[in-house]
Amino acid sequence: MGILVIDDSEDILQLLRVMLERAGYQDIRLAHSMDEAAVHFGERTVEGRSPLDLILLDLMMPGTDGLEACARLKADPVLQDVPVIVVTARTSSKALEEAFQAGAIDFVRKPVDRTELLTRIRSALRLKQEMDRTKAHERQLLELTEGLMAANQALERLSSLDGLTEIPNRRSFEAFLDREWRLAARKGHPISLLMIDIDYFKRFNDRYGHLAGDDCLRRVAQALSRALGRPGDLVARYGGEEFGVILADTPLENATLVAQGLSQAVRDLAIPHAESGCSDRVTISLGVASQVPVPGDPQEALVLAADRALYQAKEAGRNGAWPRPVEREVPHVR
Amino acid sequence: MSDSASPILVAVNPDLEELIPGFLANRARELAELKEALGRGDLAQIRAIGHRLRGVAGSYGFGMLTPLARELEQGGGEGNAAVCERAIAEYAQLLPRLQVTYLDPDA
Repeated sequence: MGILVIDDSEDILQLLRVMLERAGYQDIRLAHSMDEAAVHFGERTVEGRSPLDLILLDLMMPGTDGLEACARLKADPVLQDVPVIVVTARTSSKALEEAFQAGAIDFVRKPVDRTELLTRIRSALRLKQEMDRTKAHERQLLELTEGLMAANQALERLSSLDGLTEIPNRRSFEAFLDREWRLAARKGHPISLLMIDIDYFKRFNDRYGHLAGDDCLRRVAQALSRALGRPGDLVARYGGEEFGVILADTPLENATLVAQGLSQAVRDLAIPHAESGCSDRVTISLGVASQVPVPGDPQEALVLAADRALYQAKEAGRNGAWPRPVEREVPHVR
Repeated sequence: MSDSASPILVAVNPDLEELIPGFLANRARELAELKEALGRGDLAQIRAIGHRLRGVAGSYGFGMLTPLARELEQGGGEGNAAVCERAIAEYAQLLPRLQVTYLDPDA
């Protein structure tokens, strides 16, 4: 417990030193002036904090405005947490009010009474201890929070669900697609893929804020999920405002119908979108691609085709679906 | 009227015993400074010394010095050489008579 005593009187410094030492305090520093005290003000512990736990400041030093000195200490970012007890013979309410306004936590009267001195010091040091403990807890809490956030992110990456919408994430999507595609290839069945994008989503976020944007994503995800029921179907969050749907055992015509149904389902949400360039509400664009895969075919062709179809849907004015079969079939134009 | 040579007992906290020699030495030096300042007509210095003494006396248990410290401070501040001279004379009389006895005031 570093205690710094600042008083121009050597007699007072010695007096306080003796009283403090008798009371068991060990790290006692004495200074005859603010200038002499500067070396203590500048000292730092290994953690970069001040080693001082309390400052006793004489308000009646010649040539020094004690109140101003106190206020300066309170303005210093490192020292402001060190409690200051002023020592003064002026104990009118006005004088004390001035002292408290300057940031003093308490006062000790001159002539110095030992009991009064020790009582006030004990209180101030206890307060400092509490503050230090609180700050240590705050630091701990911050560390834990950061650790928690990192763990959460790791978990999300390992898990199969998207944190925000709670539907399958991209990782799940790709794993599912891989499985279903191979199965389709083995059985010679068609597999369809829908790539879906919320129209003018950036404008939605800019207009209504990110919380509303998150809510919109959740509601669209739920609407898409609800509209699909079969075990061979999967809807996942593919990207920021992108969703992917896998329809196993589904040829292009059926996939197109499903796409139109999904489009309607989102329109039925009736989420107002004043900044949409194609509607008064939130809408989606969909690219539909279908394939009867042959083992050895590149899987990416299906995703690519769906992506291009999505692009064309957007070009065609959004709020609709664009089907497109993969190369092996005759190009199908809607 | 007390005998001007009889000792004046000062009850001081036993914890301060180690400081008393230094304290008394400082007071003797102070008295010399006061006399010197008076001789120079430096009343501002007398005021400063009075102020310092006032801040210290009571804390050590030497409360009987406080009134004369105040006189020095006031006299010096007002430029009243007569008051200062009187106070200094009183101090000179008083100081040698002070006899410290160690008594714990809280006992």
